[in-house]
Amino acid sequence: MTLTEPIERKERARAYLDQSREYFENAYNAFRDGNPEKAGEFLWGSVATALKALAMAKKWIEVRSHSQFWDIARELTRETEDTSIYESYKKANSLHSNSYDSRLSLDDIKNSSKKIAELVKKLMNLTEDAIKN
Amino acid sequence: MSQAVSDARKAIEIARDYATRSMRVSYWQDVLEVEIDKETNDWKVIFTASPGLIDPYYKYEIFVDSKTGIVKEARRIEQ
Repeated sequence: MTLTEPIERKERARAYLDQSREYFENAYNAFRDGNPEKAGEFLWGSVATALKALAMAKKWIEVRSHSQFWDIARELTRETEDTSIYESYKKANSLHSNSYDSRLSLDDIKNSSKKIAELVKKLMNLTEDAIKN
Repeated sequence: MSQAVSDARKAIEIARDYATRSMRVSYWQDVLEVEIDKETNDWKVIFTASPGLIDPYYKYEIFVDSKTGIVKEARRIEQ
């Protein structure tokens, strides 16, 4: 992880939030177009960038590796005692894997997407709170 | 094993190690001040760090005995 200058923190966190929202919209467009792999990858992208936003807003840290996403998801779950965070994170990660081997159907991905949407919303709220402070 | 601390870099290293192991500090941010107290001969290290991802950064201070390298006192100085 890399520390960044305090002055850039809020700006970069906001940029990640915007990117996360855009990925989320793209996921629904991909659902509409009947492309599950693409939808899953966009959902994963939305979660990953929301985690990057949170790490930047709260800890001024740039997340640079996939393993750091796992660490942050675990840590956030432990600190908030909200196990749904980790469960939804794992669902999002499985969608990321699915873009390589296409095991999941459109329905599978749609079923996961509700929980993932809730996760993205939680991450965004935590980030927005941190940006305000 | 005790060891004399002759420079600020070593004092910071000891403080950081202590903070991580004994003060549940997971995120180290910055060193604000390092100085040696001429009366007590202790290194005083003031730094910002945080115990968790969703916690804010707080200010801490740690006093390190310059003769032994042992942490004599450590506390969070900002709520």
